[in-house]
Amino acid sequence: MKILKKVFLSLLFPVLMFTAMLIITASNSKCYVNGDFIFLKFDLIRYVVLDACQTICVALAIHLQLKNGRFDFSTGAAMILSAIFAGNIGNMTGSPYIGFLVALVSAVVISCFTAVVYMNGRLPIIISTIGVTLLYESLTYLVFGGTGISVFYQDTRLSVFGRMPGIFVPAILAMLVFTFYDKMTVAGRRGKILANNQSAGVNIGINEYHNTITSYVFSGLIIGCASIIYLSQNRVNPQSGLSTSSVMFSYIVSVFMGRFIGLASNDVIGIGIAAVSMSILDYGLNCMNLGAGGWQQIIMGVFVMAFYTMSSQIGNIQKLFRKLTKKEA
Amino acid sequence: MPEKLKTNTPVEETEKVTPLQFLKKHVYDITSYMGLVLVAVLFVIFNSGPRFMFNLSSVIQTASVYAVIALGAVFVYSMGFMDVSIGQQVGVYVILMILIGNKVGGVPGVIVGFLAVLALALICGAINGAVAVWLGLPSIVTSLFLMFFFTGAQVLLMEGTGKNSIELEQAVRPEGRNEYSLMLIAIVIVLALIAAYFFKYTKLGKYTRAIGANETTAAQSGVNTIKWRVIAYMALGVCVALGSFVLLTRTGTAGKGSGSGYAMDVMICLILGGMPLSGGMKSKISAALVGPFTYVLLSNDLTTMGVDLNWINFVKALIFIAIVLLTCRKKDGVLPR
Amino acid sequence: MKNVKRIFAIVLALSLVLALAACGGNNGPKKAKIGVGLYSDAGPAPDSTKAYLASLTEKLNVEFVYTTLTQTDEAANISKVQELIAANCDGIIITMDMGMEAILKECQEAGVYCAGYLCDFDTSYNNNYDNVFKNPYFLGTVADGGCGNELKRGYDFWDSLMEYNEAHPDDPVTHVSFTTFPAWAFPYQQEYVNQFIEKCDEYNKTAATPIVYDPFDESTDVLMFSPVDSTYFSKHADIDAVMCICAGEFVYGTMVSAGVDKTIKLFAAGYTEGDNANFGSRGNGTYQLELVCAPESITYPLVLLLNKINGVEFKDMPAEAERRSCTSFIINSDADMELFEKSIYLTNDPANALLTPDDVYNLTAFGNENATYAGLVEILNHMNIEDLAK
Repeated sequence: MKILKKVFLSLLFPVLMFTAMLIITASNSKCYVNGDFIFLKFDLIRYVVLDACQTICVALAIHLQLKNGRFDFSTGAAMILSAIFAGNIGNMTGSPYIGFLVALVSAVVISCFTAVVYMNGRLPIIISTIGVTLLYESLTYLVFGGTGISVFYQDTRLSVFGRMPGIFVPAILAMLVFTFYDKMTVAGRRGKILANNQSAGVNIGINEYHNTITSYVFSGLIIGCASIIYLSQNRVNPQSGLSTSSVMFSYIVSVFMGRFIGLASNDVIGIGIAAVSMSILDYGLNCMNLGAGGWQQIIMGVFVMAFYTMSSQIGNIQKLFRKLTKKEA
Repeated sequence: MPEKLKTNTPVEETEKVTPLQFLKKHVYDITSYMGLVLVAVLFVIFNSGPRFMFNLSSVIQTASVYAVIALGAVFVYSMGFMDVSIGQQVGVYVILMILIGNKVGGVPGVIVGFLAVLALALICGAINGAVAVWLGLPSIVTSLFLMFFFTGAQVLLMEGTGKNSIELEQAVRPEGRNEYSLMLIAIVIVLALIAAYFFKYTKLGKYTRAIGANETTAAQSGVNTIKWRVIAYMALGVCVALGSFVLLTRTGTAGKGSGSGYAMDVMICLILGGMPLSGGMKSKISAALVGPFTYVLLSNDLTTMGVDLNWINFVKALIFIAIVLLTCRKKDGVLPR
Repeated sequence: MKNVKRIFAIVLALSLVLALAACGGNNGPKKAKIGVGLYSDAGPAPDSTKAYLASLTEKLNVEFVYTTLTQTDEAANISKVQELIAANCDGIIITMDMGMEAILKECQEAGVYCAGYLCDFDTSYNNNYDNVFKNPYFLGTVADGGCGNELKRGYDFWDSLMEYNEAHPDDPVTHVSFTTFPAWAFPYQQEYVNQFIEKCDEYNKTAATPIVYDPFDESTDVLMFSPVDSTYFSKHADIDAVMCICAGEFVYGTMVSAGVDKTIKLFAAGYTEGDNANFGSRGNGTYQLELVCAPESITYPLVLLLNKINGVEFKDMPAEAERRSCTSFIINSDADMELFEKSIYLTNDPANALLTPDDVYNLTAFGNENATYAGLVEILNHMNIEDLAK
C-alpha cells in the first residue's frame, strides 16, 4: 500500500503536466497541422527522452554537490571543456566509445582540479568555483585550436549517445553513479552529516578533504555523462564571461522540482520525473510555438519559484492536508 | 548592544598595533588596493601615446556602469546574499527607458522613463528581499525567478518592437568626450559618498553587515531582518536603475542582449575589490570602486600589452584566482562553504 | 687628395641615405595596425579570414588584431571597439551593425577609420544613413550575398533545387518548407523566400509534377538563432527538403535527432565545419546546397582602410560610403564541393586564396597608381565557385 502511495505521488506531477499540456495544446489551433494533432505524436516521446536524459545528468551533477552543501558554479564549464576534449579525441579516433571514455576521464580530472583549488585554496565555494569556471572557459579557447567541436554531433556514427537508444547508457550510468555514491559509499553518507552540521561532522572525525575529493570524483563521472550527451546533440563552442553559469541556472529548475517530487521516493527518481515533466512542458510550448521565446523563460521562472516554495513549505502543506482530512473525517 | 561588546571595543582600540600586525590585519585591503595600483601603473606605461586620454575615458565609461551597480550591490553582498538577475534587469530597464522616453518625448520623456524604471526596480528589490523571507526561500531563488522573468520580458519587449536595436531620440550625454567622462566621474563620486554614508554611518549598513555576520544573532539583537533585507535590496534596485541610465547615456540604444553578463561582472568586480561574498563585518564599500576599475583596467592593459585575444581570458582567470587566494583564503577551521 | 676622398665618401653616403629615404617614402606602405571584429570566435569563416589576412601582413606592412563582437549588445561592441583603439589600431573592420553611431563617434574621436565586412549594415542604411554612411570615418562595407537591389539568393536556392531535380529524376524534391532568421536581424531573408515562391509559382503553371511549398509561418519558420525546435518536422509533415535561408547548422542537428537526416534534403546558406561529410552523395547526403562568401572579400574594406591610413585615395572614390555585394560560392554538386574543399575557406592555406598579396597590393592606391575603386568593386564579382577552378 505504501509503495502504491509513493508511486501515485511520484507520478502525479508528470501526469498532471501531461494532462495540462494536452488540454492546452488541444485548444490551440497552432497544434493542428492538416487536421493532425501534433502534440500526440511519436515526436513527443523522442523529444522527452532526448531532453530528459540530458537534464537528468546535469541536474544530478549539480544536485550531488548541492546535497553536500556546495553551490558549484563550475558544472557547466566542466561539462563544456570535457565535451571539447571528448569530441575532438572521439572525432580523431572515429569512435564514440573512446569519446565517452575521454568525457568521463576528463570530467573527473577537471572536477578533481576544482576540488583541489577549493580545498587547498580554502576559498568559499562560490568564489573558488567562479575562479575555476573562468579558467575552464578560457581553456576552451586554447585547446584544440580554440574552435570547440562541431563535427561530432553531425556524424551519425559518432553521435550515438545523443540519440535513442544510445542516450540511455550515459543517463542510466549517471543515475547509478549518483545512487551508488549517495547510498552505498561512506563518503556519501558522511557528506550528509557534513552538509547538516559541518563543524560537528569534522569534530566526530570525518576527513573533510577526503570526503570532498570523493564527491568530486563522482560528480565528475556524472558530468562526463552529461558531456557526451551534450556533445552528441549540439555544436560545442568556446565560452567566455561566465556564460556557462547559465547551464547551472537553467538546469537547477529540475533540481528544485526533483527534490520536492523526490520526497515521495528518492532524489534520483524525483529528478528523473522532474526532468520528464519539464520536457513535456517544453514540448507542449514548442507545439504552440512558444518554445524559444520569452514566454518559456517566464514560465520557467514561475516553476522555479513555485517548486522551491512548495518544497520549503512542505511542513505547512502537510499540516493543511492533515487538517482537511480530519475535518472530512 | 550587550555590555560585554561595549567594554571590549575601547580596549581593542587602545591596543598597540605593530606594523606587521597592521599588515596582517589589512592584507585583504592592501592586496586589493595594490592590485588597482598595479593595473593603473601598467595602464600609464602602455598608454603613454597620444591616445592616453581617449583610453582613460573609455575605462571611465565602462567602469562607471559597474561601479554604480556595485555600490548598491555592496548592501546585498554584505548580507551574504547575491542577485543573479542584475544583468537582465539592466537590459529591461534600458529598453523601457527608451520606449517610454520616445513615447513621451524630449527631456520629460527621459525623466518619466527613468522614474518608471526606478519604481519597477524598487518593486523588484522588495520581491527579492521580502518574498524570499515570507515564502522561506533562499534569496538566490527569488533572484533566479526574476532572472528568468526579465530574460523573457527582454525578449518579448524587443520582439514587440520588431527591431534588433532601438534608439533613444533624446540626447542624454554631453557631446564632448571629456565632459562626458567628467559627468560620469561626478555621478560615481556623488553616489559613492551617499552609499558610503549609508553603509558606514546608518543602521542600513550596520544591520546589513550584522545580518551577513550572523542573521540569527542579528534578529535576536532586535534587528528587524526582513525590513533591512528589503531596504538593502531596494538600495540595489535604485543603483541598478541608475546604472541602467548610465549605460543608456553610453550607448543611446538597447537590444536583446543589453545588460547580459552584468550580474557576473559585478560579482567579479566586488571580489576583486576585496568584498567577502559571505558578507559580514569585513564587507566594505570601497570594493565597489576598487573592483570595477581594477577589472576594466586589467582588460585594457592586457589588450594594450598585445596579449593574444585567446590568452586574455586565461590570464584574467589566473589573476582572478591569484587575487582571491590572497584576499579570500580562510586560514583555519572547517572548509568554507 | 685625402679631403677629396672624404668629401666623395660623405656625398656618397648622403646620396645613399637620401635614396633609401626616397624609396621608403614612395614605395613601402606605412606600418599599419588593423583591428578586426569578427562575428564569431571560431569556425571556418573566421579561421580562413585570419589565415588570408596573415598572408598579407608582410607585403602590405600591416598587423592584425582580432576581437569578437555580438549581435545583440551594443555596449559590449562599443567596449570591444574601444579596446581595439586602445591597442593602437589605425583602422577597424567590423562585422556587426549594432550601436554603429556610438562606435563611429569613438572612431572619430580617436581618428580611426572603420569599414564593414560580411554585413549589409541594413539598420544603419535604412534608419541612420546620415550618421553612418555620410560619416567620414566610415568607409563602406561588403555584404555576403546581395544587398539593396542586388538580392538574388532566393533565385539561387530555386536554381539549385532545379539542378538537384534534374540530377535525381527518380527521386525529385516535390515538397519544401523554409527557415529564416528573424527580420529584425536579417531583413532580406523574407525577400529570398518570396523570390523562391515567385519562381516556384511560375514553374508550377506548366510543370507535370508541381513543387509544393508550405506557406511561410513566422511563428514556426523563423529561428531565433537557436536550433529549429523538435516539432518542426511534425508541423511540416511530408516535406522532402528544407530551404534553410539561414545557416544549415540550426536545422541539421534537429534533423539528426528526429531521424530525418537521410530522408529530407537541406539546402542551406552558410557552411559549418563537417558539413562536407554529408554533402551531395557523401555520408547521409543531407546537404544539397551551401552558399558561402569568400573570405577574400575582406579585401574591400581592407584596401579602403589602408588607402586612408597611407593618405591616398582612389580617383573615382565615391563621396559617400557604399555597401557592396559580394558574389557567393554556390556549392550544389559533388564537383563544386571538391573545388570548395581546396579553397582557403577549408584549407586555411593562403596559397589557395583567390588573391595573392601582390594582387591585393596592386588593388591599393598606394601600391598601384592606376588602381581604381571600380577595380576593387569588380574583384568582388569574381569570387564564384568557377573562379576557384581557375
